[in-house]
Amino acid sequence: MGLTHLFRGSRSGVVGFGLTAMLLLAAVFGPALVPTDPNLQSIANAYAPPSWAHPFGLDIYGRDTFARVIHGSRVSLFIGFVAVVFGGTLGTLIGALSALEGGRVDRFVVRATDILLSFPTLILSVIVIVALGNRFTNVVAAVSAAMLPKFVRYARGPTLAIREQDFVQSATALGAGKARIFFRHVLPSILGPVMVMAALWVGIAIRIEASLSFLGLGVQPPTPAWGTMLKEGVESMLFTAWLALFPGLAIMVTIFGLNLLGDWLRDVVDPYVMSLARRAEGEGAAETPGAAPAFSREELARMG
Amino acid sequence: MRKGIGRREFLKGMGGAGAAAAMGWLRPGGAGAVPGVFRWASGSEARALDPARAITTGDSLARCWANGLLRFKPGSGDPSDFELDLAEKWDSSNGGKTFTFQLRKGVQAHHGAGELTSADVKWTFERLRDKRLTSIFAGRYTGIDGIETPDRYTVRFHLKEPDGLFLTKMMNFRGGYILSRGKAADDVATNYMWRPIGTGPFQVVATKPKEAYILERHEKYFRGTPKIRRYEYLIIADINTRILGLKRGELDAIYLATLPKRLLDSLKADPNINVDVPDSDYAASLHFNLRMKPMDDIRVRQAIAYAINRKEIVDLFAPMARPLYSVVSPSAVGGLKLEDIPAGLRYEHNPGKAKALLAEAGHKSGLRLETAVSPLPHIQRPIQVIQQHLAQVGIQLKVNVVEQTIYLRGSRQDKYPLVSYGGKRFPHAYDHLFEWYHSKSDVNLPTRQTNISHYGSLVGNVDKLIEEIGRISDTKRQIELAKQAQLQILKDLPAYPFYTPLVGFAHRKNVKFGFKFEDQTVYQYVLDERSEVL
Repeated sequence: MGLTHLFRGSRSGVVGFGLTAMLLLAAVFGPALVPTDPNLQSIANAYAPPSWAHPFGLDIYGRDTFARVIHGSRVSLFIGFVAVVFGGTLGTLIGALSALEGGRVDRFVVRATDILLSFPTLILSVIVIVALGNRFTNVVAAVSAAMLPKFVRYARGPTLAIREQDFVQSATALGAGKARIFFRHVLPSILGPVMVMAALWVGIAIRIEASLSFLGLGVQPPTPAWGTMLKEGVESMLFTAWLALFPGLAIMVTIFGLNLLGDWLRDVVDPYVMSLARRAEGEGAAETPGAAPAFSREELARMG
Repeated sequence: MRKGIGRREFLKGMGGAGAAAAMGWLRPGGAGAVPGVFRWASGSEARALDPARAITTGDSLARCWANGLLRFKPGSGDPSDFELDLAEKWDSSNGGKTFTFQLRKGVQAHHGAGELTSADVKWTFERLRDKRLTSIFAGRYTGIDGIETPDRYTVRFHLKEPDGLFLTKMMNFRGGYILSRGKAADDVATNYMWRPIGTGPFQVVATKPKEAYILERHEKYFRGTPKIRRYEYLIIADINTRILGLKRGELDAIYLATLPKRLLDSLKADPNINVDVPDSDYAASLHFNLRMKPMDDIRVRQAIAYAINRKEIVDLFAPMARPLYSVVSPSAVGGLKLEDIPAGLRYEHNPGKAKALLAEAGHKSGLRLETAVSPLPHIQRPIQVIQQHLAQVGIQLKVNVVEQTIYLRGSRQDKYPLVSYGGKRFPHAYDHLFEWYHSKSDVNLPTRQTNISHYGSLVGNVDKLIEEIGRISDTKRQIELAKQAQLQILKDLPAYPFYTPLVGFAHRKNVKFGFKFEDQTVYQYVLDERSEVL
């Protein structure tokens, strides 16, 4: 299935993909294309408004806001992706293995997850930061910790269902060990949905990082971070709105793009929605379990 | 059937909301003043209202509801220009070891607590010195040997040693506020935390954490019933919200902290608003921990001093900051002015010299240092500028922005080789020098104050000079001794003084104080019985 086919009918998917690709390109190549040192201060020119030389203006230290937004994208995206990879990998392993194991282990994991989920994600991150101190690696750990219980719960549910499937029962009867069942049967089945959720939660992870930075608990100065820039800008927003505007826009566009991309990925990977799509096009109604109503292309797009 | 919101509906809705918002914004005059009610907003919350424990916000608020035996003149922060407050006269005897105060008669305390007497004064200071209370100001009063109350209106202090600055400790500032014991207050530790009983023009009637402190006028105030019937101290953290509230007339006065020039200018240009930026004795210095390497090497300390460009730090906050060349601000009695300091001790920006000193100290390839800093802008922002200055001479300074209490604790625990720290004190060189540079104020001692560098214990010592300043009452001699101490400190360089942030206040012109406001010792407008909101 080519990209053209996948995007057909999903303008939001195209927009999400485009925005995310643009951000990734900015994070990877931006610093090379914007040679201005994001930490170079010029106090005498502080608060300078946007100009050709400095399209996003200069901040309170006279640093180039455009360069800082571009360099800040690395921090945000890095923390967003790495935290989701860490939290996602660990959470998926814990959730799936706990469901496979069952019994006391599973009960313990469920209770522990419930406790962690009872904290709002930002609060959970703040607790981790306060406990460990706000160094860069600890910020990653804090955001990962906020992601972890979500993935545990998300992986555990489908694994419980898969565990009872005939093919898993057969494999068990044939003497397959838990490790083999996990890697051969469970993981491939849950990996797609987990990856879709991961794409959606990267945006949440970036938002948490920005919130931590906004609260002064994120990466340390002078490293550019969108949340920190937003906070500094807000303090003088009445007369230098651009200082808050551009990092704010960067956060908004990033989360918007990642959410759209995640939604689109979910539609692509979710077999139910895809079968509805194919049915709507008359390609494979027989694959749809049960009697699902036919949806129009417009309605399917709206579901996304 | 079409669901959701169409583009036209969305645009209509947004247009309507925008118009409504604009109408609210442009509403002429805003909410307007409420005659007799003073609405003050600040981002700071008091840790306590009990003056034995209150610093900054709580201390300034106490100026509205409490009196000292003596006081700063209303609107003034000049300690050499004090006047009688609860005392109607005083005298000193026994070679400066005994001070006797005659109290005014008929001074009524708040909430019907009755007349204030010498027993209340005695109780106030004994309570302050009570170890169970752990007052941070107890150290100011350790020189008191005993308090005697020969009659209802006479209180006599017996001191262990002559104290030339004893009268300043009886002023309405940090520990000097007189409380009424009241009818129910028999527990030294708890009763006054949030419901203090004083004798000032306003009495505390409500405290709402994170929201407001409400004071109402004290009808029986001994100088006359205040014209303002209610003083509302509102806690509004966001400066933009405070400014908009002031411009719209929803607030009568606000705390500005240190504002960028453009915003300050826009406020000054407003025909309905007055801006006050009093001088300040705040001294911000980079304190070197003499117990830690490489700060035990004076060449490294000097290199750091020469690497820093004070002008850029001041420009960061201009015009609400000025450079600081001595460890005591010139606005405090005895603080050195620039012309009093020899060129060699000013440590003007000289990166070449800084590099040479580093090389001489064996750090030609540079240094790596780490520090923690509070998130408060006037502390955090200068350190970011200093970070760049140090990088230019090869010193990589890692800055950890941590929560205020962690910063305060860390700076007292020998965790960092250098710490940016500063503050206001009683505006006299003695208080600054004693608390920051006397060996008894070493942060490692039980008597600790804020001697972060351990100056006097390891390197240098000006203890005798400081003690002499405290002993004598001749101001001219005090200033001379303070100068000697400051020059010695600049030679030894346990700390590098770099700037004084100025804080601003703004009020609407319908507020009439009844005096000129120039007080550097407070963080809010202090009103008295003459003040009005028209």
